[in-house]
Amino acid sequence: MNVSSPAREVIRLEGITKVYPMGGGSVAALRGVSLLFLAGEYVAIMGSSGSGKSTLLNLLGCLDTPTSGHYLLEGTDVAGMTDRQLSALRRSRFGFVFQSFNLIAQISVLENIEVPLFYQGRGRRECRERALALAAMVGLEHRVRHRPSELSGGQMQRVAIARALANDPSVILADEPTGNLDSKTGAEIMTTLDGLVEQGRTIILVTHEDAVAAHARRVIHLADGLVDRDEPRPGPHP
Amino acid sequence: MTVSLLKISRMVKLGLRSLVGHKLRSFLTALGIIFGVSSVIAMLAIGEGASFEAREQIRAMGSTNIIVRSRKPDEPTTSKDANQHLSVYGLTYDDALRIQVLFPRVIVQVPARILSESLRRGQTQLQARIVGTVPWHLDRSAAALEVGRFLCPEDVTDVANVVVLGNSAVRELFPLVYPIGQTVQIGSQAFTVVGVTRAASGPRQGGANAPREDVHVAYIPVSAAVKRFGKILVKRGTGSFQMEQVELHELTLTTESNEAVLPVAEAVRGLLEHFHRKKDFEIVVPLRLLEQAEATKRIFNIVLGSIAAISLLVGGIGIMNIMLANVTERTREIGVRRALGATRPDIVLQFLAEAVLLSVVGGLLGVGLGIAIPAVVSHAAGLRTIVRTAFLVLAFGISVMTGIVFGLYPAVRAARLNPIDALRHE
Ligand SMILES: Nc1ncnc2c1ncn2[C@@H]1O[C@H](COP(=O)(O)OP(=O)(O)OP(=O)(O)O)[C@@H](O)[C@H]1O
Ligand SMILES: [Mg+2]
Repeated sequence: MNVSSPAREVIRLEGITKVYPMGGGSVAALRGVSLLFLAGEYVAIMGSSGSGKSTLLNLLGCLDTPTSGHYLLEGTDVAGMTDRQLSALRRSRFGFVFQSFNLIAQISVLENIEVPLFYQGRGRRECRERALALAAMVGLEHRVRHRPSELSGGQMQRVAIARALANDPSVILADEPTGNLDSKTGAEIMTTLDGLVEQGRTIILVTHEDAVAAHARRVIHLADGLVDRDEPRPGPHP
Repeated sequence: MTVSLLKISRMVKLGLRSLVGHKLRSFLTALGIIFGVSSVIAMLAIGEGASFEAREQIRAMGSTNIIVRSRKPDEPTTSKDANQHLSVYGLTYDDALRIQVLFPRVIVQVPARILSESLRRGQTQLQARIVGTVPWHLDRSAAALEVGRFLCPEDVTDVANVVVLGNSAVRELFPLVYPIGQTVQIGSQAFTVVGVTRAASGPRQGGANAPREDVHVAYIPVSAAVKRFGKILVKRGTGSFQMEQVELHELTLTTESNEAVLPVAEAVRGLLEHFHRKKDFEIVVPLRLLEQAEATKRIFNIVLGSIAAISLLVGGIGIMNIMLANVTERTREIGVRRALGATRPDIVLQFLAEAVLLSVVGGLLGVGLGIAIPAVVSHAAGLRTIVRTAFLVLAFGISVMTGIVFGLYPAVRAARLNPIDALRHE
């Protein structure tokens, strides 16, 4: 990351709230969150269970809409966008990595990686070539014909990362990407993610583990739907 | 938005894979469509075959023909002799004559009466075909007059005992005598010879083995045939018996054209009603039957169409049911696809493609079965069946429509889901 260049704003949240109706009453998962994310940032979101981490990440990825507040993506309020525009954002600007991998079981590894490319409207040959390149990048070129169920957890998560990168998104959103993995495999995944920051992408990940958060350069602590602490991670950076 | 061919082909592939992934389930669902389509085709084919047969039969009666039949009147017609329960009714040769005179351009065909009586003169006796007929018979037969005259209208009206002999009979009976004015015995009746016919010469002789027309013929007035040798029908009822005498059972009137059929039929009806107080005849117009057959066929087709609609409706509901289950089962996948950038139309297309694929495969198998069933029915039951391409296209088209209509709702439902709700779905 070039330190001398002025940091470009990618995401700005202003007073975001998210209230879920629950039975008779409602649950406020987020109660007024204002945050700024710059291009190339490596951010970990931490907090106790139920503090609203996943809710926040889903809002960031335009998978959900806030109850109130403003979400500006590179200066544009996403509140007024149609489903089509939001879908376009999800496939070209964001890459998602989930705790439970969320690979599609019926199709092969290669086809899983091809999914975002396909929705982007790329040609058959292009899809195939790019998916193969991505599989090679995460070291799974020899497994592309397999079904996801035939892979280990770490391999599945690498497929998910390859898929998240398919359309070369600027922001990677990962909700507990190592949550279902042992620590050694988790560390491998984190190394892969670290590499993405080197490419200038913004990474926002949710985690419970300090070891995972240690990879990030900024840690946001949520507590009960509010930003409790937002600080650069102390200690040496790689 | 442009739904590109690439996208569609991808969706079809995806749908195919999903269907193959659940072979039994897909097959059972398609079964509804298969049976629907095949039964529609089979019913249409059987219906078409039946109506074709009916039309052929009617056409065989002749579309320019009018058939006038004797018919037993509703109230018992008492004859001169009520004690003997002899009922006399129906058409007479006078009727035939009147029609022929009044409608010269109509050909009145009177069925000849063939009697099994012998011809006799002196000691010579011959087995012959005694034909009771009308004066205009000769015009339409292969025979020609040699000497004398043929039967004339008065012979019929007067019930004259006159006979026209074939020349072979003349050779046997009158080897030395000029036959005209002579008398021959037919059964117990004496008939005066008025003419001699010969079989039409010409290209009728076949090879050496061809059956020779050496049967002796004699023509007598049809009225004489009825009166002298008349057939009296004896019917035995419960405790009583009844006799009926009908002079003419049936007349066939041949008109010049289809257009002439109905007016002539009406005019003939008027004429006959004038002479028949009791309604003891009926007029059958094959052309009208043909038209009725067409109308019946139309109704038949509507009824079959409704059955088709219902059976395909059932198949469609099967598709909808399985697609709803499918959508529920794959909610998570829908969420993932949405997170990866699928638009709502993309999701609709994916599930619609699957439903349509199901109906297309079912439809194709149904068409196959629909071709096979009528063939089996024809073979086994001897029913005529006609499978028209239009039936196949229609049934297949409806099945695909069914797939679209019943696949649309589950597909739209899948697409309506909020991405995050779909993703969270367990
Ligand atoms: N769809 C929903 N409907 C109702 N309440 C919800 C829904 N999603 C989240 N919540 C509530 O919002 C709050 C925050 O949930 P969230 O999933 O963001 O927590 P989290 O910080 O990710 O927790 P965890 O670490 O356990 O994953 C919780 O109280 C949760 O019960
Ligand atoms: Mg969470």
